[in-house]
Amino acid sequence: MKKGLLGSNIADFLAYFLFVLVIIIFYVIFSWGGDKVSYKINSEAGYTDTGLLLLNVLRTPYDAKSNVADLLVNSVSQKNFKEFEQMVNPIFTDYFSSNFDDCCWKLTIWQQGKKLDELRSSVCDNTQSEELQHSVKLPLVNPKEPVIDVTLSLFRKGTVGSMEGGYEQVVQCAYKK
Amino acid sequence: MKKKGFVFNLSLVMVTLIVLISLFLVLQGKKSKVEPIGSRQFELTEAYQKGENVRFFVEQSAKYSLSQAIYDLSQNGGFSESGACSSYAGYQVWLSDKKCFPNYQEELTNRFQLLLARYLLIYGAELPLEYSSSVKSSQPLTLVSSANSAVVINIVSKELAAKKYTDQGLRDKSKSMVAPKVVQKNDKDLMPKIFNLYESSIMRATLNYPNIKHSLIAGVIAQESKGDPFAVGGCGVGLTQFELGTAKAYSKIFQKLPQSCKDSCNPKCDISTDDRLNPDKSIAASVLYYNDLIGIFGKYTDKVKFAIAAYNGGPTVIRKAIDATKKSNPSWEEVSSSIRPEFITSVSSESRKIWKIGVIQDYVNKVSSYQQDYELLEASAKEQQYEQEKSKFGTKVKTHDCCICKQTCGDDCAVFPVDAAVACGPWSIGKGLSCDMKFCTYTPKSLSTYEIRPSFTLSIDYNLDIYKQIIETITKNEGIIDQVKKCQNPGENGKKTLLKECVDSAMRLAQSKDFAWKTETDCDTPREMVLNSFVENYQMCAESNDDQCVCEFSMDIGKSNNPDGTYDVVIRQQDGMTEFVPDDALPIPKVDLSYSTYYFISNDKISKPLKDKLIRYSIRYKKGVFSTASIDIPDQGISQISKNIHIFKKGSQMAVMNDEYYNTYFTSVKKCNVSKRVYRFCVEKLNNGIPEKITAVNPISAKVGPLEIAYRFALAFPKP
Repeated sequence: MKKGLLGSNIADFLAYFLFVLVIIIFYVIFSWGGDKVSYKINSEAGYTDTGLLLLNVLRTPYDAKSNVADLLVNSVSQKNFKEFEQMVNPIFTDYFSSNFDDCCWKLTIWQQGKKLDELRSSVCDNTQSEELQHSVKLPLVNPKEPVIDVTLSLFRKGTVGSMEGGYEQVVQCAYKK
Repeated sequence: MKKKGFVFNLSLVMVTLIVLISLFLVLQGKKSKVEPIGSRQFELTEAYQKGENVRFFVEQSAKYSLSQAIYDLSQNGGFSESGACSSYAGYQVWLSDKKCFPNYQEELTNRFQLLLARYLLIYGAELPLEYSSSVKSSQPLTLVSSANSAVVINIVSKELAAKKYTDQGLRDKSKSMVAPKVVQKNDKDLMPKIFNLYESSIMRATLNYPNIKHSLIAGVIAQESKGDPFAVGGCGVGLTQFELGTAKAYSKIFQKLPQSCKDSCNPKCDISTDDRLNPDKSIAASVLYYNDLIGIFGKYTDKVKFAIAAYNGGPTVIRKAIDATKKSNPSWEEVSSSIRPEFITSVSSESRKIWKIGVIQDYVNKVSSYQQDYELLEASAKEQQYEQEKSKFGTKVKTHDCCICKQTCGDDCAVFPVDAAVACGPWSIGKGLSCDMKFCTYTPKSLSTYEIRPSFTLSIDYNLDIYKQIIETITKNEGIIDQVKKCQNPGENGKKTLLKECVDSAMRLAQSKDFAWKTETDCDTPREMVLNSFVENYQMCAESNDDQCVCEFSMDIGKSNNPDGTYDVVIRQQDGMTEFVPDDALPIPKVDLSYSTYYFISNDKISKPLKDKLIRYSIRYKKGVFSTASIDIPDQGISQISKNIHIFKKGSQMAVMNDEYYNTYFTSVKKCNVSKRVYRFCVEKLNNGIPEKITAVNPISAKVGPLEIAYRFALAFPKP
């Protein structure tokens, strides 16, 4: 029996096997070709809910004839937001405290880039983190006046992001578990 | 090991090393990407949320529009625009030979749709403006309405956050910018208002027209409409006051224009869905028009000023004035002083032509002045923006300079999407960034579309059949008509009563616990009293059976609660239509009179018909009592102070004069026999003695809030 190139047939076989394996690895690596992807989960938790919540609050009936949005429009025309704040503050406080942990919110009323009023959760601190915003346009009784923009902003209170199972978990407003 | 084996072994090691190095390099070269799980679902929900925002805006707008429509309708005799039997002193006539009662359900939906379209125009996105509405029930008033077309919302991939490069992204970004405080020559609030409201539109409209400065368009907006997108002038409409003829030349932008009107100077043109009321379109068209005008005068140094003048006076006038200077490159000052009356063809009389020359010269000065104010604002805004960019990105601003977007929106832009777009805009031109930039106009990849067709049912605590009840009170047996007829025709006792007494007594009978009937000056605000009294006297004179006679009337119409002193009433005569307008352009309805107005030139010679002319009556009162009236004809330099107003009537001609003129030349002329036969009414619906109210805007006082609903109309009785 003839000896192999590497001294034995087994050594030859192993060498060929190793070579083919390297080629296959090489092929697989190049054929995958995608970018390095890491996943973050639910980075916009509360995002969509909050936008719709804002609309729901504005649609809430205030009395037999008007809703919260009408109350706001009235407040803007009278430049007195006291009644509006008294109405809206408990709704948000209740919603956020019962649904989220560590969540701060801020409601701002704008007209042409000018801030008219601001309401915020009592624990909120401006410096804590980036915010997510939802803005809703609201017409005034007089259509010649510029529309009002009502913006609901969410803040992360401190850092609640963590690494779990190789996934980066960044949560703006964490849902209550 | 054999030599061959060694070589083979070495080759294998080498190949393996090459593969590993390649692998390392490939992995290093691959980009790191973080993908949020469920992002597609969020995109779907976000599209849904945008749809809900649209619905919410439409619902709120519809609610306010319905309240306003109810109020407006009552103020306008149940009609949305002009009534079927013309109008009288601002009141729609309900009854003359024909019975011209309003079809109030149809009129309400018309008015509602017009008002709703005005709201939707200001939303800032393409919302359907046309709705089909119908009244489902009159009590409580229930209106069902649905849009004729759908709103299409793109479900956009958030990859690279590319949406921030879109038109809307830019609009939102520039909307969040606030005009800085800069010392202004003109009205200090006007240019910041225009900056805040329209800078983003101007920015987009001028993207492909680098020779059109933002400040030029802003100056035109300030001068033409003071930034009011719904402004309606003598002939122009909208933000940049395009006249119908010029607008038709830009029909690619203005797709919806009043078709039935020959010219927009006709106040009866229906402009309810006119594209000129759309601020974006008005701005885009004015940019194109200026681009064309600057092209016409392109070879002259003062081409922009020529274009401004041509925007007001027409390019032919300016072209002729340039030729008249006989210079190859005249300045605006030279051209301005070369405009001659014969160049002006838009008006006929000499005096009017001279007046128009002054208007063109003044127009150029005013637009240029507004332009300077706006440039100051822009410069300051750029500084402010640059500082913000710098504080946010530090040195990034320099490396990540504005030139990136000159080519494509590459990766760098994606890193700082919004700010890259802004850095590429004109904001960053200054302090070392001096690129001639264009915006990235990357269109985001749309995954799919979400379509909604807004529709709603509105119910309001109001009884629309109140019109039916009022009409019944007028027409029923022993109603107002019967009462008046009875006392006009001598009965058994053969006594004929004066029409006024009949009307007064019929009105007293109509009073009930549910309705309060009022007539004449009780219905009018003090301001309207002045105008209506004047118009009424004018019309009575016009309708007199006598001819070659003089009507005389005093403006001493009683006390007024208005504390501020004087009013001006302007008569404008255009194409057989006499329009009475208060000096401050309050929306008093126009009055139809087919008489031409004249004034005296000397002795008994009267002027040519006052077509396109103005006669200004200044009616003054002091300490609550109307006292004197002065007659001014501005382009003739005539100003006549008078206690009474006299009108000489001859055929279809009416010539106005003051006391002095009358006493000198006309005392021997017979007086016209005038009789009043049209009465104005207003009716208030009472709830436990309190007039019914609705939240609306009072167009006269601009007051917003719960306003009393007063149903105003006029009844015309046959001559006794």
